[in-house]
Amino acid sequence: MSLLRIDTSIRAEGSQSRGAPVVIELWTDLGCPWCYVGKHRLQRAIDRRPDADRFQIKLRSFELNPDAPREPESIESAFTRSHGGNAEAVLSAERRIQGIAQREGLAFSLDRLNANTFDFHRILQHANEQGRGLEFFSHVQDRFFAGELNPFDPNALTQAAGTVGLAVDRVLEVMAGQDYAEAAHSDRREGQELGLSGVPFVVFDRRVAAPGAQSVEVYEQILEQVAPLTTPMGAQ
Amino acid sequence: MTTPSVPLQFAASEPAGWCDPETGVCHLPEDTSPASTPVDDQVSAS
Repeated sequence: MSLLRIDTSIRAEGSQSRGAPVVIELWTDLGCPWCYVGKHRLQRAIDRRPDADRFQIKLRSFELNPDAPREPESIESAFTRSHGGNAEAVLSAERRIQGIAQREGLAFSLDRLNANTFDFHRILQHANEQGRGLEFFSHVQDRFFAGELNPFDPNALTQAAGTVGLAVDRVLEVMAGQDYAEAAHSDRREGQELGLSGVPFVVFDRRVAAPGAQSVEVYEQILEQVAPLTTPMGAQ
Repeated sequence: MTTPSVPLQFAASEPAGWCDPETGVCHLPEDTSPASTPVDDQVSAS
């Protein structure tokens, strides 16, 4: 087991008491398939609990490929351009992830695009500030993986932001400038300081970290660890 | 103001899919089934 000394100030106020809010931080990127699968597994684990409403998922930015071009390209083109190899190997792996996602009831299109996600993360930071981060991220990512939304089209992304209740004028202003750039960079640094070496990366109540897309059952066990529903024998 | 710190525990976990920021490669979880795709193919672009 790895141990790391960390700042506990991110914990929800009163998180030591029974029934108090618990903050779950999810470092993630838009186009990462395991981030998509992992977020839904985490949400499913939370939804299975009678006290589901005490858990607050906070989306943290982690741009997987800061050097990705702004111009969208197909997934296989992006991978073969940067890594070589052949497109069929990429599509083969994509089909395997697609099978896993579909067995879990998630739409998964192989026709997704790939491009730089930094502007998306800046709007995510704005959405977080407005208390709409989870709604914004989920709305865009779910439709992106379903093949229903091109998040690299500024008009489509702005419309999606408006759908979840963000002020469109402000979103356009953010997209046109560099607002929230430092917040997005800061999230990335903080994740790495906590031991993140890949995404998704989930930190529960600043006490337990879970790297990768864990199963629903593993997430359930961690939720029980940080917020027990049962009281051990002999405990008050 | 100094804030208290506690150890962050890394949960015991099962093999999990994840995406690597160093390489841009997304890895499938280990698959021991006979029909599994060769390891070299168990990657995807992020």
